[in-house]
Amino acid sequence: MGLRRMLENWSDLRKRDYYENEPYMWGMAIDLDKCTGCGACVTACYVENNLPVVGKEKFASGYAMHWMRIEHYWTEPDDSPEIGQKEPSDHPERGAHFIPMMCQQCNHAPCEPVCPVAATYHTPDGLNAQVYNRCVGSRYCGNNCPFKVRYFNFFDFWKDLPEPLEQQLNPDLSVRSKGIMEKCTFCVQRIRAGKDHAEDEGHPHSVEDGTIVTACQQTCPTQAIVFGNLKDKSSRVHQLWADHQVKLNRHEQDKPEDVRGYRVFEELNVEPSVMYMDRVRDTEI
Amino acid sequence: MLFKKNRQRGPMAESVAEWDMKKGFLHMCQRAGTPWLFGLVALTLLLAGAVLPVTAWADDVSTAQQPIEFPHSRHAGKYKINCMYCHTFARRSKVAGIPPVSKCIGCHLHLPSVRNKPRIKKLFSYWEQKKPIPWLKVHDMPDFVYFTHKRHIQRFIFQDGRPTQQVCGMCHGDVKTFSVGRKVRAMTMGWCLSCHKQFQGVSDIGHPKPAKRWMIPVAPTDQAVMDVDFPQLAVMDPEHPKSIPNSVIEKLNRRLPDSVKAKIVHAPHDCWKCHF
Amino acid sequence: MSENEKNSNPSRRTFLKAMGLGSAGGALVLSGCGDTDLINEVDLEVRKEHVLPNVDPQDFVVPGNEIYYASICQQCPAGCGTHARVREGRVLKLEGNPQSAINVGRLCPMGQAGLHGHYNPDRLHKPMARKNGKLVEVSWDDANKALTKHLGTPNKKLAWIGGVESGHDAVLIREYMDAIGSKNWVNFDPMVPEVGLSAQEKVYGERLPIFDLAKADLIVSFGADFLGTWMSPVHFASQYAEFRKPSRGTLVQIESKMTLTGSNADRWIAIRPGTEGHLALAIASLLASDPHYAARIPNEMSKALKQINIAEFANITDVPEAQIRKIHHHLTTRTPSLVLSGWSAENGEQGEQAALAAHLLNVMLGNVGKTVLPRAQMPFPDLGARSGGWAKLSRVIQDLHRGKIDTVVVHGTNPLYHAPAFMEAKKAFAKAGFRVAFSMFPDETTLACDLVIPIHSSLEEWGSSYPLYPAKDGVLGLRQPTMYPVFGKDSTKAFGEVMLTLIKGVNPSFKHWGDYHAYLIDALSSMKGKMATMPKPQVDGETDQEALVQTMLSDGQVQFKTTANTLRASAILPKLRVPTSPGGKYPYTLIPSPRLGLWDGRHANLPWLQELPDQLSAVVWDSWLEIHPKTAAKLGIKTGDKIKVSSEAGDIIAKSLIVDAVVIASIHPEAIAIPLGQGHTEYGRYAKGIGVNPFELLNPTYDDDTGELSVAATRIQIEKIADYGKITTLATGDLVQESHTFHQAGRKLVKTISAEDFNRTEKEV
Repeated sequence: MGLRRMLENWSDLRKRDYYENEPYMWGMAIDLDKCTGCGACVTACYVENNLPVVGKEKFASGYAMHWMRIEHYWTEPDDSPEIGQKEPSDHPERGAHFIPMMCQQCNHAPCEPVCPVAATYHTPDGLNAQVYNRCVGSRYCGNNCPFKVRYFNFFDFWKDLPEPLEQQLNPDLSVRSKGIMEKCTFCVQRIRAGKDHAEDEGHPHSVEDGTIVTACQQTCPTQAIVFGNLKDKSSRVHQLWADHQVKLNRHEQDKPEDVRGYRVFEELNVEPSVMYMDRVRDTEI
Repeated sequence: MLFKKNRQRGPMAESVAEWDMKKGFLHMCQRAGTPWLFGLVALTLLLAGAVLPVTAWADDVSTAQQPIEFPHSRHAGKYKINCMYCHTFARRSKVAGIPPVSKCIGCHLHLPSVRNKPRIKKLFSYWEQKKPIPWLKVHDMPDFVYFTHKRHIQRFIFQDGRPTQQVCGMCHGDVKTFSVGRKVRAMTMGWCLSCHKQFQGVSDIGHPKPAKRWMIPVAPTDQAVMDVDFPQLAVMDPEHPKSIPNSVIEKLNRRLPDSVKAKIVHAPHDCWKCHF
Repeated sequence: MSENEKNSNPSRRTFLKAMGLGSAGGALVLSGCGDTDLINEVDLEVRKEHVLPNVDPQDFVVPGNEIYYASICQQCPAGCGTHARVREGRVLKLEGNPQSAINVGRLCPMGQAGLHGHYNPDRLHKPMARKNGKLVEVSWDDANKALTKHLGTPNKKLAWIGGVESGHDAVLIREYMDAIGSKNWVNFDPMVPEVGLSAQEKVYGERLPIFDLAKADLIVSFGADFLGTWMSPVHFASQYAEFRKPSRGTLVQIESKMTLTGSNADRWIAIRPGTEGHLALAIASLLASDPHYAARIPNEMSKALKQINIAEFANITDVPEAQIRKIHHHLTTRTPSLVLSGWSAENGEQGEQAALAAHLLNVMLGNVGKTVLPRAQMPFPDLGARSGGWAKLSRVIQDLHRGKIDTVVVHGTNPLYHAPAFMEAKKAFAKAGFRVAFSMFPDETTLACDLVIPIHSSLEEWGSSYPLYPAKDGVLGLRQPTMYPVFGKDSTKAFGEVMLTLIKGVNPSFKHWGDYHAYLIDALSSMKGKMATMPKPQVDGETDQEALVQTMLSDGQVQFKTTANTLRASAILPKLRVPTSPGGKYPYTLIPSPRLGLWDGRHANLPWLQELPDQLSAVVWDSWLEIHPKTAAKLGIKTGDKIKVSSEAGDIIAKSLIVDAVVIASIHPEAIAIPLGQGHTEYGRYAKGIGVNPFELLNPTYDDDTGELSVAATRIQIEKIADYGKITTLATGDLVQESHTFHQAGRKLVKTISAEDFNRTEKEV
C-alpha cells in the first residue's frame, strides 16, 4: 500500500467494516485442551519460515526469533487454587497451562499505526503484513505489541549459517537481514500458493477449506490448530468460532462462561484473529 | 503445501538434481530489506564523503560472457520456435526455467548440418560430461520479490490468446532480434506497476464499489498498451510509482467500457502480494 | 574520481535519487557497459550469478515447483511416514505422510528437525582410518580394502552393536552375521522400554500389544510418557486427541518427575521414586476385595492381595490413602480404562515387578481385549524392529573386557556416550583389535573407532524400515533418495550399499544383485504374494511390476496380509520389596529424564532442537537439575545456582557433575531430575561441551528379572557450589530459560473449565 494512500485514507482503513466485502479473512482456532505443549509447531515454524537459530548467548539476551512459542504457566501458590482444588498444593496437580503464542493478526493492530514508514499494515484478507523491504527498523511496532510476538533482527543471522545448512532455506520467502522486524505471517507464502492453485483450478475467489495449511497446523500431533477463512461459512474455523460463540468486531463477548472460546487480550480492543479454546480438567478425580 | 500433493510417480533417481545446489543459492533464497536505520547511516556516510555500502543494490554491471553464445535470433527469429518450446516451465511455474541440456540435445542430435560448429561442439561436450551449462543469469528479480511467470502466461497467452512472442516481449523485449539474451527492462517496482496500474480497473476481488480504494486505471482501455511495438512506451519511475490524483482516476474509471471491465486482470494492491 | 566512485552503480544512483540527493558528489555517470534500459536510464543488474539447468531431468521436475517424495522418519524408532518437500534438488521440509497409520500426516519436533541432521555441517563426508593413533581421511578405495580385510572373513569374535534395526537393513545384517558365523549381534537403544516389553510379554504373551488410548475412558499411567518419549509419540498424541473429544477421557499420571504427558494430566500425582509398583499393588488390593474383579485372577492371588495394608503402602509411596482410594473408585466406575507403565516406574530398582503390577490392573479391570488388543501376525517377522537395551550392551561390554571379542562394528547407536562410567566402556572398547563405525556424525563412539564409514542420511538412500510400535500391523515403510547426496556422489555411501558389497565377499549368492536398490526392489517384489493389495497399472504401457514399484514408492509403505491373533492374559503377582528408606550419605534419587527434543542425546547436534525450550523448565542449550521448592529451601538453593551432584557409582569411581538448578514444583521432593541429551564430549559443534550427561553418574543397579540397568534408581547427594548472580544478562555457562516467569499474573491467558461443562457444551466439529 502506498504510503501516501495510507496516510490519506487512514481513517477509512481503520474502519471495522472496511474489508467486509473481501472474500477472505484468515483466522485460527486453537484448542488448548488438545495442545500438549510438545513444541512441534515451534520447530515446524523454524523450518518453514527460515527462522535463524541464534545460539545460547543471543537467546539469553532476548534475540530468539521464535515466531511461534509455547508459553507455559504454572498455578503459583499465590494464585487462586487450580480448578477442582480447595487449596494450593505442593505440586502442579492439574498439570501445566500451555498456550501457543504467535502474531494474532489483530484487526485493530496496535503495531500498525505506529510504523513511521507504513511497513506494517492490514491486508484486505485480514493479515497483519510486515513488508521487509520497507522496514527501517524503528521497532515501534514491537514495543506496541501487547503479545510481544514481533522479533527484530539485531544481526545478519544468515551469515553465520555454516555450509551446507543454508541449503535448507525455503526459497518461497525472504531471508531477513539485519535491521528488519519480523513476525508470524500465517504462512503467507502458503496462502499465496494456495490462491495461485485455486486460480489454476478456475475459482480464484474461493479457496477450498483445508487446502491452505499453516506449517504449525500441519505438524500438530493432536491437530489442536485449525486455520482457515473466517468468511467461508462452511470452513472448519468458522464453525469453531460460531460454535464457541466468539464474534469479531467486539471487545467483549456475550457468551456463557462454560462455552470455551476466547481471545487473548480481547479487552484491549485489538481484535485478534486467533481464538483459543479453554483448557479442560476433570475436577472429579 | 497440502493442496493435492503432487504424488510423484518415480523416485528422484541419481540422474536428476544437477540443478544448482550450492552456488548462488542464497540469492535464490532471497535476503531482503534495508539495513537498520539505513537512511540515516547512508546520509551520514554521504556527508562524510565516504563510500556507500549499499548491499541491497551493490551488484555491479558485468560484461561477463555466456558460456555459449546462444543465438535467440536464429531460434526464435529465423526458425520461429515458440518461446515456450524451450522455456517450458513458464506456463506452470514461478520461473520460466532455463531449458535442460537434454532439451537442446533433443533437437541437435537430428541436426547434423550444424554439428561441427564450435558452439554446438561445446554444447555436446557439456552433454557428454553430463554437466549443466553454467549460464549467467540475465534476469534476476530483486531477492524480496515474489513474481510468477505462470499467472502472466496463463492470462495473456491462454486466456486472451495473444501471440506468445508479444506476451513474453512485454517484459523481455524483442528477443527474436537478439543474439545472446539481454535485459531490456529495469524490472523495478515502478515498472511493474506501470502495467498493473493500467490494467487494474476495479479492485481485484470484484468489489461492488469501484471506489478510490486502490490505484485505479490510467488508461481507458488495455488495447492501447498491448498493441504498441517494442520498446514499450510507458514511462516509468524506477523507484516508485507516481501517484495519480484521485479525481483523474475517478474520471477515467467512469469512462471504462463494460467490455474492458470484463477483461480486467488481477493486480496487486497490497505490498504483501509480492513482498514477503 | 576515485576508483570507488567509478564503480558507482545504478542502484546507488537510484538510491541517491530517491533520497533527493541526485547531484551530491557529481559522480553519477552511466558506466556505458552492460545492458541498459534506455527509456528509464538505468543500468541493469545482469550476469552476476550462474543459473544451472538440469542436464537430463525426469519430466515431472519443474524448477520453482515442489515435488514430494515419500520417506520414513529415522529420528526415533517410531517410524513415522514423511513427505519430503523438494525444490531445485534440495529437500526443504519434512511433512507427515497422511497415508501413514502411525502419524497420519503429523510430525513431532524431532521429525521436523530431521533436516538439520541431513544438512548438518558436522556430517562425516570422507572415510576415515586410524593411522598412528589418529583418525585421518582416506580414500574410498583404502576404506573398502580395510573393510574387506577386517570384516570380509568369517569371524566368530566379531560383535555388531546396532541401534534399533529393522527392514532390509536388518535382513542384510542378519545374513552377514550368519555368513561370518558370529552370534554377537546386539541392539542397544536406551529409550526402548525393554523392561516394560518383558513384563508385557509375561502378562499378555505379547511383547507389544496394541494400546488403544482413544477407546479408554480413564487412563492411569505410571510414568508412561506417551505424549513425549514413549515408543511412538506422534501416534499416541493423535490417539490422545481422540481420547480428549467429548465425552472426554480422563488422564491420571503417577510419576516422580513430571513428564510432558504428566503436564497434560487431569491429575498428576507425585510419587516417591521407585514405588510406582506399590501404588499399583495397593489399587489391585482394593480391587481384589470386589468379587467382580477378583474373579479375573486366581484365588490365592486375590487372597495375597487382600493382605496388603493400604495405609502402609500410602506411607511407602507418599501418596495419601484417600487419593489411592479415589483412583480405585474411578477405575471401577469408568470403563474401559487403561493402565500403562513407563520410564520412571520401569527404571526403578524393581522395574519389571512394578510394570507387572501396573499390567495386573489391566487384567483385573478387564481391559484386555478392550483397550489392550492383540497384534496381527506379520508374514515376515525378520523385517520387524530388532531392539535391545542395557542388558545386551553390558554383556557385550563384559565380553570386550574379557577379550572375547576382537572386532566391533557400531551402527546407529552411541554406546560410549550412553554407558555409565562404571561400565568403563571406553576401556573395554579399546581392548578390541579393530573397531568399525558406520556413522553420519563424529560422535563419541565413531571417533573411538579405527575405521569410519560415512553413510548417507535417510533422505539420500534406499531403504525400508519397520516401526518399533506399529500402529497398523504389517506395514513396512520405504525410503528413497529424495535428493542428490549433500556432499556429492563420492563422499558418503548408502549403508545398504556398503553392506551388500560386504556380504558379496562372504556370501556369493548376493552377487546376483548389482546394487542395493536392485536388491531392495527385487526383495519387495518377491513378497508380492503376501501384499494386501496389488496396484493396477495407471499409465499406458506400464507393467504390473512397474505399477507395484511406483505405488510402493509414492505411498512410502507396503501393506502385507496379516493373520489375526488373540491375547492370552495371565495374572502375575508381583513380588515387591519395601524399598530402602532414603537417607544417609546419598539422600536423593536421581531421575535421568528423557525429553521430546534431544531425546536420549542423539539429537543434541541439531540446532533447532537445542533451541527448542524444554516443555516444562523452558531451558535452552543446556542441562539443568530439577529440584522441588521444599528441598531447595532446605538446602538454600534457588534457580540458577551451580550444583554439584555426586553418586557412589559403585565402589570404583565417585563421580560428580556440576549443573544449574531449576527449582520447579513438578517433581517429588525426594527426587532430583537431570534431563538426558547433553554432556557430549564429541558430536560436532552444536553438541560438544554443553551440559552434563546424567548417565555417567549411574550406580551398577540392575533389575533382578530382566538384567536391565535401573537408570532411575541411583542415589545421589547434591551440594550448592556457586550462587546465581546475574539476572538480566547471562554469559555462557549460565542457565538460559525462554521465560523467567511462569505466572499468569491474573491475566487469564489460559483459561480452564471443568470436564463436566466441557461435555455439556461441546459437540464434535
